[in-house]
Amino acid sequence: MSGNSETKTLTRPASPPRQFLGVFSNGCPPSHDTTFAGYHVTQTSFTRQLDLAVQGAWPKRHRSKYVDVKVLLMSWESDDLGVEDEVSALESVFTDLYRFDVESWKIPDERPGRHAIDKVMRFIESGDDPDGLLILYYAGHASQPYHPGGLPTWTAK
Amino acid sequence: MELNTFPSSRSRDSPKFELSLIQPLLCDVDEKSPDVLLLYDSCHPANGQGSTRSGRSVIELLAATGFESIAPEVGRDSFTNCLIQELSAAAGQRKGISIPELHSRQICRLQSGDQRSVMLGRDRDGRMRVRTNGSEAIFETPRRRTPIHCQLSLNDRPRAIVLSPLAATTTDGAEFIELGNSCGIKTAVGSWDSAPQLQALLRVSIAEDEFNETEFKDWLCSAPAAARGIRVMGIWPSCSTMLLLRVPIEVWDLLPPSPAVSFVAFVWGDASTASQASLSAITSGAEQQLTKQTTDVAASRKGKEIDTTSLENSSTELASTEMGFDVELAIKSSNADEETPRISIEHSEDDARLVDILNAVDAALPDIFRRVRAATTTSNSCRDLTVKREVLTVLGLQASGPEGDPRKLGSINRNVLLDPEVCIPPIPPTHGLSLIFWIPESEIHSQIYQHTRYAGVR
Repeated sequence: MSGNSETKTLTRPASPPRQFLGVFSNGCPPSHDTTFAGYHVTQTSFTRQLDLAVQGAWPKRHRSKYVDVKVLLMSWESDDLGVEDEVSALESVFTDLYRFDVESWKIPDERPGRHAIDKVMRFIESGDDPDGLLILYYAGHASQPYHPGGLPTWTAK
Repeated sequence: MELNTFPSSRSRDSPKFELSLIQPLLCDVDEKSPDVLLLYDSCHPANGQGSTRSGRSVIELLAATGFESIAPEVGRDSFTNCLIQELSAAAGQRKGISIPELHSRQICRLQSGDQRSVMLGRDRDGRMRVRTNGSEAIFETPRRRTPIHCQLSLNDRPRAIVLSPLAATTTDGAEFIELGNSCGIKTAVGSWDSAPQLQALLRVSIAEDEFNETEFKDWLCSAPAAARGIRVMGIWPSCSTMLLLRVPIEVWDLLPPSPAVSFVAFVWGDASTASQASLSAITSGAEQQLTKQTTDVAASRKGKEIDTTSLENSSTELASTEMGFDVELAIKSSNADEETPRISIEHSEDDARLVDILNAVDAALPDIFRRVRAATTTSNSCRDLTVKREVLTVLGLQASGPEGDPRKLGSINRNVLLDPEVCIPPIPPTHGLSLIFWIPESEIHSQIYQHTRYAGVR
């Protein structure tokens, strides 16, 4: 189903809802947020969505379609969480059990952003195959995004 | 706004970079891009930011937790440990695990059990010590958080990334036999499957004044196996209709974002335990039946004693089948001196043929059930003969259809024995049926398959 037909089957409230209240200043989500009460979906359209989800959620009887799977495991050089053991265990799962092509990479403390871009670019290049799968794994801290709805910042400590 | 926060003081002096430097690189997909899976053992905002283009490739994200909570750190409850456990268990089953399945298992794993563990720490000399508050040990309650799943790609049809072991490049071939023999793994997975599953309770606002339950049940009946976990928990009229629906987490993960559908809570499902119990009963019942059948067949074929090794496919297989209902496969090997069932599916021509036949039967099933249901309503009783006739008619129709392979389906046709009584307790044909068939062309090992399918509605 295309996104367009879906929009059509979704009825919207006549007036746009008030801006989502989000979280009150005391940190509690509001109990009277009726923002979404006006939105409806037709039964046919919803059943169709469910149907597609059910079909998509379970793999076919057999194995996956990938001919090549590349894995990049990222953690900090100066990691303070002690993720090392878990990361190498995961590396072993992917390498020994799944036979994926795994690289474990430590994010350097100096200019981490630049190195990460470079690393990820090369990672993408190495697995540029329509029948492939790229897996990026990260273990470490993350702090809240600067902007609501944005992506977080990854930090070593 | 109040959400506009900054990195905590903990990370002020730390090396850091914004994820927005790299994640968009991976999410920039076109028609020829690979699928992308992001696994973050860290906090992540639950509102996934992904591709803005609709394309073929799928981008999925699984993160330790949303920003509402703090991720469990390294240890038994950690996201990564959970990944390691579930991926290892899945690898032993010779089939893939989809990311929504993985998500569901992670949630179930974290929600079950509640052992507190004693806090350990190193003293000044670096020796491990139990932490105490003077005289009593300090226990920490497990820090378990719900991992989040986001579909970051825009796809016309939702599709899940499936992880499964790649074929070995070496030709020693021993590994598959090893896996087929892995009783330990099967048991472990079986016990997991029989545990009640957490499901997602969803609120759905339906535009119509009335929810057509019959239509919905009809869909459930013909929908793939996974749909059997879906339950309508309540229907309330309002200006429109409000529906409370319980769906497996896997299905929830792949529902497109919509303001008309919202998450209410995680609740325990019930279907799994009930069906598991009946399935094991069926298997044991089927075994007696099949032993008889098998002996007949083999006696006529090879005059050889049969070694009945049966392999129970756990309900993971049920859930992962492409087409409707549950499947139970009892596989008999005629190879008397072989202990292990040889079902390294799709690793021999025979197995490929079996898969073909199972697929053909699967494809015919919705039609079969529809006809059986129709027959039941008209005559108000449904004899085994009626069922058999319907099954054969449908398989026959499919064989003569434009895409059917008359040779292949013709052979199914000749060799399908239908015996609803095999199901113990016997189930009405409208609810399920058993097909027993064998593949006569197979020279390597003659096998008999019992194929039990249930309609999704109870």
